Amino acid sequence: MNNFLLDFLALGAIVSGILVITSKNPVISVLFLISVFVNVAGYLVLLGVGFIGISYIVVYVGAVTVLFLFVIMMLNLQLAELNAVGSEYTQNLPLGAILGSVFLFELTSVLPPVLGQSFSQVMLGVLTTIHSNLLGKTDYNNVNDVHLAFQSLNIDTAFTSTSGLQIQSIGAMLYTHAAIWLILAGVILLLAMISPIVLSMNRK
Amino acid sequence: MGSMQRRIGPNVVGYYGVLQPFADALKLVVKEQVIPTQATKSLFFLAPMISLIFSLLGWGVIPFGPGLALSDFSLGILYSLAVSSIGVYGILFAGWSANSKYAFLGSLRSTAQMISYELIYSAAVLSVLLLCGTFNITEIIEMQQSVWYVLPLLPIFLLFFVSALAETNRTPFDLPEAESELVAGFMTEHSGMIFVFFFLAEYCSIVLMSTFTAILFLGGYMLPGGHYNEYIVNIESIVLGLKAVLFMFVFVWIRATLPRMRYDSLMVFCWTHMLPMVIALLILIPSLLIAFDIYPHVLSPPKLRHYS
Repeated sequence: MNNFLLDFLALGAIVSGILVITSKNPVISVLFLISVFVNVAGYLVLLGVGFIGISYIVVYVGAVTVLFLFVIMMLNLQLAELNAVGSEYTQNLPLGAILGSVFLFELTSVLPPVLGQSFSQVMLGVLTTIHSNLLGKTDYNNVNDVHLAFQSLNIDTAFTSTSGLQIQSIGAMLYTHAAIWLILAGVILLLAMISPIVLSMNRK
Repeated sequence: MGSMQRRIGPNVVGYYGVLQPFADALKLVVKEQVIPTQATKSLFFLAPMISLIFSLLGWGVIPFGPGLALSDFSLGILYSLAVSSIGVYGILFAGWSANSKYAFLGSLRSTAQMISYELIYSAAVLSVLLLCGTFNITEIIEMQQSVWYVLPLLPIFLLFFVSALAETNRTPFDLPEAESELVAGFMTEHSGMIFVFFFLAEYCSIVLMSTFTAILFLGGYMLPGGHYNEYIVNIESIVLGLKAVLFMFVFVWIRATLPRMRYDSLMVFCWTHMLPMVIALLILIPSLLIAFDIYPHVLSPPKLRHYS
């Protein structure tokens, strides 16, 4: 039964993901985006990753998509215009395919699926230096420990071996091995917050 | 409500008008359904259902006594926050699908208000969580055996209650309804049965909010000074009910007392007055907990006290 439900939710997520980009009306499209998020959240909860599943609903469904919907409704788009513009864009499909494949190639070469490439080694070295000097974590001085958070095997053992709740093991992971990644994410989010303020600032 | 406004109020149906709500409900149910021709029909019917279902789903994690919850979920608080945030969609879709200016304006207002005040609401809930170190609602109640959180967290409690008023769209924050300017806000075009859905959702969320306030700040189902229930009647749930009724009374009290706020002052109040206050408290409380070394021991959650 559980397996069937998992398959069902995955299928629902994929189908509504396709419907997001195929439906003409932007409001309906966002509606299917919500459906994608709800399906994925259900999938995660059913897998036993309850905290992340519910965070999905709180963050994406509860805040981000509401803002999407809000803006789209405020814009008052005319459907006929949208359809006209949409047919113009289909002729750029080959260009899109080329760009997409280039991006995919970059993604696989730059981001480390296996951390053997030289670029990612250098980046990790820089991060490790910051990690050990600024945060005083000399005991996690080698490269392997820093990106421990990215290795699914370690996460799995962290979830099962500790007796505490899932949220506690996430916290324990986040504030020890992955502290530098947490700070990086914080800086990126801060930048994302500052830039709209700068953009909308009214200079007199 | 009637006596507060120094009028008689409905007193015809039943003794002293006790049956008036039932008469109102019956009247609404037998009314005719009117659907606007330009409406998006699927969303038009989906919206009230979303509102009602998600305000009812919030009851799933409310414990009415020790262990008397539908689901004693370890992330109960997070669950109820998630469910209450999905409720916004009902309003948004209702306003959009009806294809009417009044409904649309009402829903935009209501959504902006609910998103803004949800920040305050969640931050207030988070500061309660800092004190007790758990997401589980039963454990939060059991942590309040020595003192109800309304005493140490009085400013948070006030902020929480104001944001709860705004979340449920009650006076003085009932801008989305605003009869004098927007007819009836997002539910202008809804009539008959589906209007009943909105109405029920609104009152259900009021009751839920009151219960939630009672759980977070007034010790939920516990009597002050500890209590040992040896009777067949579930006294804890009655205690919880009484505490919730107290807050419901305050809801009605405020409605009868305060005038409606202007919309811009409502948003300014949220973003420039309440948000800095709640963020300051959210930093102050953990600092105090660390300074006096009284933070809850998260890694060994407290055992639930067992009743006979």
